[in-house]
Formats: sequence, structure tokens, C-alpha cells
Amino acid sequence: MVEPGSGGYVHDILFYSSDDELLPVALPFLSEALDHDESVILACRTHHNRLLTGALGDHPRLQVVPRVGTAGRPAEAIAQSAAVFRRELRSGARRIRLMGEINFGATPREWAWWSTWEAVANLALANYPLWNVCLYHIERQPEGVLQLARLTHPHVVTPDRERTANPHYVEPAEFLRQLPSIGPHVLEQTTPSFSTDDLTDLAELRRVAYGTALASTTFPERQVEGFVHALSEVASNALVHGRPPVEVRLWAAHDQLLSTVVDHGGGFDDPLAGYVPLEDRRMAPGHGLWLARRMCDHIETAPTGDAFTVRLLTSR
Amino acid sequence: MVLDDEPQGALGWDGHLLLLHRTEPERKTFLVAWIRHGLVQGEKVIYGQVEMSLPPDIAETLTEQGIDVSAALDDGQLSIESPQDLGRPGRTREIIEKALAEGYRAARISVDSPPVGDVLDGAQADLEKMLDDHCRHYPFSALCQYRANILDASVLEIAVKLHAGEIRTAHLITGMDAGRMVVAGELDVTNDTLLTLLLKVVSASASERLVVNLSSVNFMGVAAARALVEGTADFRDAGGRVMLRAPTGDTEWFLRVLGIDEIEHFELSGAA
Repeated sequence: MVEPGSGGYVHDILFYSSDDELLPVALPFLSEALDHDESVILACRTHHNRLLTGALGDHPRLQVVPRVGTAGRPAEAIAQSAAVFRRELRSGARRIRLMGEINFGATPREWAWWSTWEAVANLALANYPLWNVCLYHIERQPEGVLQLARLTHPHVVTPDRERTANPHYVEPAEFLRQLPSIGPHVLEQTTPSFSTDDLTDLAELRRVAYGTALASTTFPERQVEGFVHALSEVASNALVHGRPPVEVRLWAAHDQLLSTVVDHGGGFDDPLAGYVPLEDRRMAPGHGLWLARRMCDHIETAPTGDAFTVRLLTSR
Repeated sequence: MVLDDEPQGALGWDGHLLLLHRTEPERKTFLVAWIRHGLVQGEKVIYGQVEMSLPPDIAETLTEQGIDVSAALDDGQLSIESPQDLGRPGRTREIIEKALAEGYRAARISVDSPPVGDVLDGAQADLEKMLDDHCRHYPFSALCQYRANILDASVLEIAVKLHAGEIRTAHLITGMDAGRMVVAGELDVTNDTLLTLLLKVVSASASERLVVNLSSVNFMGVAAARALVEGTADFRDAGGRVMLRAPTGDTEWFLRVLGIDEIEHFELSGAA
């Protein structure tokens, strides 16, 4: 496989149908790394992790990490992946080769959700010297997952180790815009558990949201705290960067927590906002949304006329 | 997350305190807590008020909290003085010494509605310095009330310095001495500017290390983390170390997620 010219993040996809197709690509790709002062990280299904580590043998620069998907949230998974890569680079690796298989879950909503990892990784990990080959079994993965995967990988690797540009690739921001919206949510047709047309007191908002969510949903306290913290950060952004009045609605219903925060400023039109980990240690604006994305399941921004709506959703 | 209505937190009601309030309910909540603390502790409490009577809502709240206000007024433990009289040179010292001679363990003074148009002009600053001096030399507490929204940054800095960082606001309560700062309450965009300023003031007088006790912080947002970084930037740039001590589990997780422990010259640890 011809080495990419980029010194940054390289994101390839391998469609395969059997181990016999996978191994002739994976083993040379990974063993070359170990021969050249690079590190290898495997984040695949257990079967493949075992197969590959068995073939490569023990090596101090080979490690297996949990695969991305199902549990957690994409923004959190990206941040955690980046932390693993930073540690590895700090320990002296010249470059990292990552072979991974995302656990996409069972529903189209989960497929779309975890595909955001694939899309956002192209930007969030752009500065990392990392060559990532993602594995997609063309028979085991649902067609919906494969369709999304074709849109999120700039290059395709074939079982005969050819590496070519992917003609179906779309830029991450465009990809996120094409994903199904979570709003207006059906809960928004019901009476909210809490509402204010002119938010002035953030502490009171946190207090009410926390109490309401604990009383009206089955979420564990930790998850409620995360949602309330996310809501507080989004509301803070509206108060500081938006234009008053700031309107907040909260719906708390058994297994769903939904909130809308509306201000009357221009907002922004960047679906990637809050996804890309911020390396800036001065905690510049942007960290609030980045943190919020890690603390609730979905955050969607929608400029609408003279208003700007941020919608937060956590659900089971 | 502990969301607590109690404004007091881990810090006391003694010494030279700056109450920065944005609303009247905020002001009364803190004022009542300060008066109550003095009465319960057996101190003489003097309240400066033009009308020469305790405002009914404050009396009512104190009564609800178990204070016999009439008895305290009758026996002189709680007394009302005119602000003009309290402003006379030497009058505060007289009051303190008289209270101590009468057997009270300490005295405390606060004045309702201090002049706001010329806040911290020369006369007001002199008064603050005098109160600060009394707090250092007598068992004495002064609660100075200012409306937060009338203070610009430079005046606020002077006010903070005059009160040695003993600040009470709706959701941020701090206490400071050389190289140490205790922060309590809920920290977000409503008080990040003040927190930044307080950190600048306390770190300017710290030598090699600044310890910030976060054990009574119930909520911290990104704006507050930014304040920690910005408020200590000069100090850390000069080689000082900032030790963030004893954050609760949530706050510690939050600070680590933001990577504050990876910033040079910051340390995050459990022990207070």
C-alpha cells in the first residue's frame, strides 16, 4: 500500500468480506509500522484484535484499546481517542497506525450518530500523525452504515492493497448537515415542564432543571447532572454571545430530556462547532459547546430568521 | 452537583466583607445572614439606616429564623444609628470600644444604601480604609454593601483590594489571604469577571504558590475555568504555581476534562 504524503491524519476505509481479504491488507500495514518506529493501536472487534495480535506477536508499541461506538457520545469518543494518541506520541512514537471498527449499534439513529465520529475525525484529528484504516464488513454491516461510511473516508483501500481517493467523500460540515434533524421534536408539541421567556438567572435555571429532571425521568443522577451542565453552558452562550431575550424550554418525560434555548442574535451556521477538541489552553469561547456535546446525547443548532435555536436532547 | 440555597458556603461572616448585590432580595439575604450571625454570637450589631428603624422585611426574616428582634433592640444588642453619625470621625472606634466595655464579644456595623453616585471616591475610600484598620485591630466586622452593576472594572478592583477579597455575591463567595483563596458557590458567566479579578489580586500578592480551595464550589462552568486560567496568567508566567485544592468529584472531573491539570504551573489535588 503506497504511503500517504500527509504528515497529519490519514483516514482510509477498507471494505472486506472475509478474514482472508482482511489479513493480507492489515498485516503488512501494521507490521511495517512496528518496523519503522511507529506505534500500532487496534480498536477492532475482539475476533480481529485476537487475530491480528496473534499474527503480529507481542510488541511494546502494539496496544489494543476499546473500540468506538455504542456507549458514550461521539464528541466524548473523539476527545478520548485524541487523548490516547497524545499519550502515545508523548511516549516517543513517530507516527501511529490505527486499525478500527466502530460499533454502530442497531438503529439508523445510532448509525448516523457514530458516523459523526468518522466525519468529525477528519478535522478533529487533522494535526495528529496518524494513519487510520477503518474496517467495514460488506455483508455484516447494514447497507445504511455502509452508505454513511462511503461519505466519511477520504480514501479507499482495496483488498489488493490499492489506495485511491474516494469519489463519494463529502466534507465533514456538509456530511453533518445531511444527517436527519432531531427537531422540532415531538415533545415540543406538549407543554414544557419548565419555561422562561427571559432568562436572567442561570443558577435558578440549573436548580429547576435538575429538580424537574430528577423528578420526572428515570435517568440516573449522573446523567441528569450532565444534561443540566450542558444546558447551563448553552444558556451561558446565549446570554453572552446572543441577543436577549433568551427563551428556555425544558421537557422532562420518563426517558427523554429535551431543552431548547433560543436567543435573537445571528447565531452561527457551523455544524462542526463544539465537535473539534480545543487545544487552546486559555479556554477561549467554544469550550462551552464542546463540553456540552460531551454531556448530552444530541445538540443541534438552527439559525431561523431572527432567532437562533440550540436544541439539546438526552434519551435512552 | 449540590445546588444549595444557602449562600454562606464554607466561609464566615466576620472581618471586612464586601457585599456585591445585583438585586434587593440578594442584598437582604446576605444582610440578614450577617446580622443573625452577629446576634447569635453575642456581638453588638449596629445597622446604619436613615429612617432609624430596622426595615420590617429584615426584622420579619430574622424573626422567622428564630431571632427575637424586639428583645435585641430593647436590650441594645441590635441598634440603629444614622449613617451621618456613623460617618463622624472617631465614631466607629467609639462604638466598638463601648460595645466591648459593655461585655459584647465583638461588634459589627453595616450601613444601608451607602452613597452610590460617588462610590469609592476619596471620602468613601478613606472610610473603607478606616473600617479595614478597625477589623485588623478589634474584634469587629464591617459589611460594606455595593450594587455590583454600578462598579466598573477599575472601581471594582479597588473595592476588592480594600476588602482583602472577602466578597459575598449571590453565587460567588470568596475569602483570601496571602497566597490562599477560598472560593465557594456556583461559578459561571454571571461572576467570571469578578473571579478573574479576585485571582489577579490575590496572585499579585502571592510569592511562589497560590492555593485555591475549591471544596465548596457547587458548580463550575467553562467561564469559571477560563477565569482560573486568565486570572492567574501573569502569576504563572512569572513562574508561580497554582494549586487547585479539594474540588468536589464533579468539579474535578470537569477541570480534568478541560485539561486544566495539563496547563503548565497548574496542579489539581484532593487535599485542602
